[in-house]
Amino acid sequence: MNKLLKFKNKKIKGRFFVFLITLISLFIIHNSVAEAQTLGLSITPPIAEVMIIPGKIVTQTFTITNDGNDGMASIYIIPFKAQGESGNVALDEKNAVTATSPYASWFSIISPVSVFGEKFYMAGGQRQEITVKITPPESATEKDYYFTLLYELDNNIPGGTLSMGPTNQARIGSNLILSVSSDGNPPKTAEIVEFKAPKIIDSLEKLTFNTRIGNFGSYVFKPDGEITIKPTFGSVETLSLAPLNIISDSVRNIPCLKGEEIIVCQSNRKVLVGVYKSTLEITPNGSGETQSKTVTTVAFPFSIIFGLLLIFITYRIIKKSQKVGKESS
Amino acid sequence: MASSKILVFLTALLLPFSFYLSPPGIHAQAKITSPNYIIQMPNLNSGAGIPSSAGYKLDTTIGQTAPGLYSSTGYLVRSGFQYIHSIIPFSFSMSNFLINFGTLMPGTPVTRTSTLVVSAGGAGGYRVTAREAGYLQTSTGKTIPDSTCDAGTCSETAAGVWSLATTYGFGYNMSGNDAPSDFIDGTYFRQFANAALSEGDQSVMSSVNVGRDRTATITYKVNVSAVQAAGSYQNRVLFTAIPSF
Repeated sequence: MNKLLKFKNKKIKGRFFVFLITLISLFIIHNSVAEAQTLGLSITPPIAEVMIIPGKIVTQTFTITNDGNDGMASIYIIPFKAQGESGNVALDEKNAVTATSPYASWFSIISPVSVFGEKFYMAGGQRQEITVKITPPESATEKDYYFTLLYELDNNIPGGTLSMGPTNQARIGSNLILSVSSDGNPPKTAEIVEFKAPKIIDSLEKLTFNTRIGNFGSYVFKPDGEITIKPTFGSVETLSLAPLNIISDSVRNIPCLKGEEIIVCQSNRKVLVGVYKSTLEITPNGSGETQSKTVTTVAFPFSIIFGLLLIFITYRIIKKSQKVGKESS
Repeated sequence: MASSKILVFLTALLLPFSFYLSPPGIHAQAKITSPNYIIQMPNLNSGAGIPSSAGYKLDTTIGQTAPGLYSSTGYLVRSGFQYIHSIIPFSFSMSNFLINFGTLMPGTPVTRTSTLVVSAGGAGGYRVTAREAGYLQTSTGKTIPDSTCDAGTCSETAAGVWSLATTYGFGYNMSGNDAPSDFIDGTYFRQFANAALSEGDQSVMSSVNVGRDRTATITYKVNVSAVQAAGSYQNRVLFTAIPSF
């Protein structure tokens, strides 16, 4: 009995020590993980479009968060131009808004600091509102001006750390489209730079379109447009263009929209046989002059016919070889 | 019996500490129920009086700017994207911002990785670009040059194969979601665009689609020759994440 009790005690002790060691190990691992240097930033809204009378004032609030380690944040406003045709921006960092830049009087930061570029502390997990006042002067030329508000975070490097390698820094932006207009209804002109579909297509494939819209006016617009596909046989199909911003002096490749999803402009149905007439019609922001263009596609069952031909030829070859075989026997 | 009591006592003593092992609280975004596309008028800020219906589209009910209203208030603001009703703040994160290659041995390449994650709820997607402030260098000005890869052809704009232990320098590879197509596989590397040489920022991730948690891996690589001066070489790499307009 005593031996049994001793054995049971030993077992309990053994399990307890395993539990203790596991607990201590997890505690050490947890602390090691907590020391990882993470960097995380977010900003909302991702875009703000402001139309304003020259001389008037508007304030816009952005919300930023620091989702990583503690750091020092700073805010900048930098002009941008379109780069490529996918809506990407090219920052003009040499003309960042400062006390001496051409746009110095247009923008001021109200909170949490009073000067662009001034650093302020952001703890990990902290959310902060950034309020910017926008005041284009009365003498401002009436047209669009494009800026990106940049939130830059410089993470704290732990004291005593001497690394061999790069230290990464990040900044995240929100785009600001500023339209200066005294009547709020400036003229907008859209141009169909390209509307393309294949001229000949195999049956049972889908029609795919490439659409590029140009804005050579002074104000941004969103194309309000549709592609209408009329076949020789069958019902009409309609695709809606995605209302993406086309800023002035730029061309943008415009996809289609299905619900809230951006998709390639492609017919939902497969083509059969015949002539397909596809018409693109757009108006800038749903008003103004409508631009349209029509392309024609011929659908022909090339693959089906080729397949049938192959089967026929194969059949004839087999028949012939069977005949030759019979004659020789 | 005494052992059992000791066991119970010690367990009771240590058990509270086990709560510190549970994962740290995750900072969650507050759920925003207003549409992502709002019209802001004077005395109406972005958080006040906005309908919460997911199907509400302000552009279809307000339509064109009312001229009288615009001239009396002086401005009209639209924030967000009019046809997207779910709100995903634009975000960018990196798993570790401090990259430490440790002690380098000549002819022995060393790699380190970071994970980049982007969430872009806006129309048209996003782009992340990167540039280095200058070469990896010591405080006394000794530098490790950017790699030109095995064939001497890779640059900040075009990746090339870097697999030889006799090719020296510093570079990076991208893989995963939305990585540039010239990174064909893990042996392809580019230099960082060098701001000190006035080289323009280069894209490391980009997409034309709305996306949540788009994840890519950046692999940093360095290799030094036997004649590389000893020292601690450092530089800064700046990542810029901007949504499409």
